Amino acid sequence: MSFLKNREIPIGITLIVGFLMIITYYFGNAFPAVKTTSTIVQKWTVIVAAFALLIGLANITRIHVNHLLKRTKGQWMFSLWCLFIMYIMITLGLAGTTKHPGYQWLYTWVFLPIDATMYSSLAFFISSAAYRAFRARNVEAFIMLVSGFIVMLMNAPIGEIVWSGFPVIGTWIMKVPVVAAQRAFMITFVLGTVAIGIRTLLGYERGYLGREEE
Amino acid sequence: MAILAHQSGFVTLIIICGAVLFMIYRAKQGFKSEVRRVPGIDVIDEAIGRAAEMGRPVHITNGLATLYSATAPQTIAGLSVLNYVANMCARNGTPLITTIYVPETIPLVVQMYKEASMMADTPEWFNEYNIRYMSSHRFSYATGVQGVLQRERPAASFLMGRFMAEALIFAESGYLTGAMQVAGTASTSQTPFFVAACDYALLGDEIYAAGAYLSEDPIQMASIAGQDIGKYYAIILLLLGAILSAMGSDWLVNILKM
Repeated sequence: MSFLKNREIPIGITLIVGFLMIITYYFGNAFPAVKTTSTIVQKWTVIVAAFALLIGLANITRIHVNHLLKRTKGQWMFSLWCLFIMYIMITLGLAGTTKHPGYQWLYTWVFLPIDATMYSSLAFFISSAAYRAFRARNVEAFIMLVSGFIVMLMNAPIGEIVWSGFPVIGTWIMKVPVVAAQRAFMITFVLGTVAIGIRTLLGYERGYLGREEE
Repeated sequence: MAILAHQSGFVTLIIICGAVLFMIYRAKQGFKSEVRRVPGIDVIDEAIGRAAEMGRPVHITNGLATLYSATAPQTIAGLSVLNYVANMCARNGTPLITTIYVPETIPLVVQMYKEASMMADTPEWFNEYNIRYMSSHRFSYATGVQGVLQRERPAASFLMGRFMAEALIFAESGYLTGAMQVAGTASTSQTPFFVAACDYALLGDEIYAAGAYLSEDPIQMASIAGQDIGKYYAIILLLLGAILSAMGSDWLVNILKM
C-alpha cells in the first residue's frame, strides 16, 4: 500500500484536473466535450466543498464543547453562546429555509449589525496603523507621510478650501505613481501564480500536502 | 470559430511556462539557481524561536481563498508555509494555533499537524483543539481570529494567503498583543496595510516563492528563477508598448487583446 501513502494520487488528480481547466479555457470552443467535462468537474468541486462545511461544523462543535466541559476560564460562556446561536440558526434554516421569519429576524437584527460593527472597527485600526506608518523615520517614510497627507486633503472637503492644488496633486498621486506600483505588483503576482501553478501541476510543490515522503 | 481562444494569453502562458520548465530542466542537470534572500521568509525561524523562548504559542492563518477559486494559489502557498511552521513548532514544542476560513483545508492542516508531530517524535505536540475553523463569513472569521490573538497572545503570527478588509484587523490585533508578525498576500489593496502594520511583509510574488524557498529544493528554487525570465518578458512588453503608444500606434494593444 506504499503507493497510497505517497503523494501520487492527489498530485495525479491535480495534474488531470489542472490540464482539463487549461484546455477548456483555451480550446473549450473547439472541443465541446472537454467543456462539458470541465463543467461537471466544477460542479463536483462545489459539492465536495459544501460537504467540507460539515467538517467545519464538527470542528467548531468539538472545540466549544471541550471548553464547556472544561469550564475554561474566560471562554466557556462565549463557547456556550456560540454553540447556542449556531445551532439555532441551523435549526431555523433547515426548518423553513433562510426565509424562515425567525432566521430572517436573527440575520437582520443580530448578524448584520454585528457584521457592520466589525467592519466599522476598521476605521480605528486604520488610524493606529497610519500613525505608526506615517512617522518620518527615513526618506521613504517621509515621502509616504507627505503623499498620505496630500491624498487625505484631496478627499477631505477642507483640502480644496485651504489650497486648490491639493485635489490636483492628490489625483496625480493616485493615478500615476499608485497605479504604476500596483501594476508592477499585479505583473509579479501573475508570474508567481503561473510558476506556483506549474510546480503544483507537476508535483514539485508538495508543501501543501504535508511532509515529503522519506 | 477560432480553435484557440485568448491567443495572446496562450502565447504568454507558453513563454512563462517554457521559461520555468527550462530552469527546472537546468536544475536537474545540476545547475544551481541563485535566488536572493527574502527577509520576510528568513525571519520565520526567528519568530518561532522567540515564541519558544517566551513560552507563548504561534498563530497562523491562510486567509479567504478557497481551493477551487482563481486565488487558490495563495492558499496553496500559505499551506506550504504552514507546513514548514508546523514542523518547526513541533521540533521546538511550541503550540501552533491555526485559524481557518476555508473548511476544505481542515483535513490538510490536521494531516500536517500529525506528520509534524510524528517527524519531530513529539506525539504530545499534536493537539486537535489548536486547529480552529472560525467561519466562512469574512467578519465572523475576523472576529474569531481577533479573539484568539487577544486571549491567547501568541508571540508570533503569520498571515499568509488572500486577505481583504480583515487584513488590518488581524495585523493590528497582533501588534497590540506584541506578536512578531510576518504577512504575505497577493491582494494589492491589502499589501500596504501589511507593510504598515506588520514586522515583515512579503512583497509581490514573494508569497508564491515562499514554499519553494523554504523547501530549499534546487528544482523548486529553479522555478523561482524561471519567473524572472517572465519578468524580462513583461518589461520588454511594457517598453515596447510605451514606445509604440508614444508614436501613436495601438498595434501591440490590439495584439494583446486577441
